[in-house]
Amino acid sequence: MEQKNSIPFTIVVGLLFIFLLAPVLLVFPMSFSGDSFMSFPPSSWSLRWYEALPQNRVLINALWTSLGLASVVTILSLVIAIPAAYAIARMDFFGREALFALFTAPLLLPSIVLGLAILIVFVGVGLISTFPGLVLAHLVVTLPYALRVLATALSTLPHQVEEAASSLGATPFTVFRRVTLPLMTPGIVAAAALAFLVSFDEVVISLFVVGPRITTLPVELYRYVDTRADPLVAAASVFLILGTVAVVLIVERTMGLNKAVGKS
Amino acid sequence: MLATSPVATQAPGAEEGDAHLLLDHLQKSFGDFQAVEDLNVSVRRGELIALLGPSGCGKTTTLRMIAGLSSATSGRILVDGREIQSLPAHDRDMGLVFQSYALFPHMSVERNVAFGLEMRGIARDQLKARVAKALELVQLGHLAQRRPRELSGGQQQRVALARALVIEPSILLLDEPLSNLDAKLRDQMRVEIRDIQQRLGITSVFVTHDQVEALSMCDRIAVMDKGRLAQIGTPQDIYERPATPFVAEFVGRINKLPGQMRDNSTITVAERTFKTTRNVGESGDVTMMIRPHRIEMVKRGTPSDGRNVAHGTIARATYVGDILEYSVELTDGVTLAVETATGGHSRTFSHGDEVELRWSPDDTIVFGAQA
Repeated sequence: MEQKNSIPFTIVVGLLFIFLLAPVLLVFPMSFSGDSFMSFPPSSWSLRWYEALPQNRVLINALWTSLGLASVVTILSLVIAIPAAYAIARMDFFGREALFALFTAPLLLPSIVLGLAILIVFVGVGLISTFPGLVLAHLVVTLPYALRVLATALSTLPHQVEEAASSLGATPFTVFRRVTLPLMTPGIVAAAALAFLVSFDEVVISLFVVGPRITTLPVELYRYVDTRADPLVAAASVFLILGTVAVVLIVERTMGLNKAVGKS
Repeated sequence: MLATSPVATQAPGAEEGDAHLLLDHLQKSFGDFQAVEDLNVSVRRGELIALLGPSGCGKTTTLRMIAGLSSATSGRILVDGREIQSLPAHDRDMGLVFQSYALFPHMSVERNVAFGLEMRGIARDQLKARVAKALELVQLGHLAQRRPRELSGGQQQRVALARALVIEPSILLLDEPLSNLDAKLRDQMRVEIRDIQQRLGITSVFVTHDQVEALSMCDRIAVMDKGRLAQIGTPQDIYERPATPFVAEFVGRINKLPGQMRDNSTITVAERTFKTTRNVGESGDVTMMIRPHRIEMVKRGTPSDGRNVAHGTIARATYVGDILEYSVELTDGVTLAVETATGGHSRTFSHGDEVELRWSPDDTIVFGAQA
């Protein structure tokens, strides 16, 4: 975007950003509060909530669960969505459109409905309060994102480049490995980042699947706020925000965010 | 007319013995649409043949079938007498150059060219030498480490050519390779590709919609029309002796006048009489065709010399550098296009000049009127 925007436009966009980001930014001063209750502005400043954070075994355990869960979900999302996106974007078979619609349908359903449905199914097969159960439940929401991003990345990739490779003697698998996959890299990184953030952030569906044996960080934070009102969650939120920003920065630095989400 | 004439120059399977590439009753349909219909072409070893035609005539579909990127509905494709139509693209040993270049954007020029050799498991030192030689052939040795996007269109097309040639394919396939280049570069690449093709003696199929490319570069031209072969022959054959009105109109400019055959060598066009030596058995209503540059324009009253004569007035004269394009209105309203070379001793005429047009009966082409 080289063009200069007009001043009123800049002001409107600026106000919109403040509106969207103000609550997020408020978390930062709150986390340095010396009070025992959340209030703004805090009456005193301290690092006590940052000191208390590592002491909270429940939250720390939930953090490790969430990180592990998001990593496994991300890898599985890619392993499933890459071949699926390839089949949908490159092959011509009966029901191709229908399959794509089916794959991306969970994006349209309310999470609460999905969560309830998953609960009903999982109770019967003993997947409630298990790691595999959480992985499966999260895949339902991360796969549509991954598939969409990857299908877009593939459809913008000129088919003739792959045809050139096969005319040079590359078997279909070699074409995929040496040409298609490297050219899809921006899409893969974007899909991975999205899948990771969606899984790490997921509350509603997780609420139905977690149990006494296993729980995730967002669920634990939600429960913490439900029962207590001290600024510990503000300190935790600061780390979550910084983590998210780090992921976005990595995507931005490796290839540019616009390119990663399929805009050029 | 269209349906019967194509086979006249090419009996099916006639040249099977010495053909390097043979398309035998090749057919491709997409649903109800016949993209390529009963195509029979034989290409000799070392020959550069053009598939020429307007867009949608089936020329690119034909090339894709030869390359193995599209499967033939029926018919055979033979290389050195061996059927290849059921082989996948990666087993066909064809060098392919696309209009869009289709270089691997994530690889350097050198890696692009090396790709085909890697697929063939060529040893590293030999591979390096062959890549260097191929890049030298297209004069790009100094850009080996660049990425494709850092090169100009012409340079990218040279890389694509080197990448296709380095594997020493049995046949080189070129799909509109010059269409994305600007006019000047196109002329230069035309000479360059032809030169390389002749030096390597590689059998090549060149798809183009540009008659100048086809005429100037190729040993023979196969003109395609609506999925069928309209005519196959040398550039001279195609230009001087078009087999169908379509070929006559598609290759070069031509005047078209409706008339009637009086006898085997006399045509009347609106009460005028012209002679032709080019009638092959047409009678009744016909279309007479004359190339604009085969018409000589003289001042009225110059003594006649047995050629066809018509009188008219210059309606428009357009100067286009090396030639002058005239539009001459005959006394009864018929308009003829005439081209003369500029400069030298040929005199020029301007709007309103009364002129006499003359052309040889040998240049008076006749087709049946229904076509």
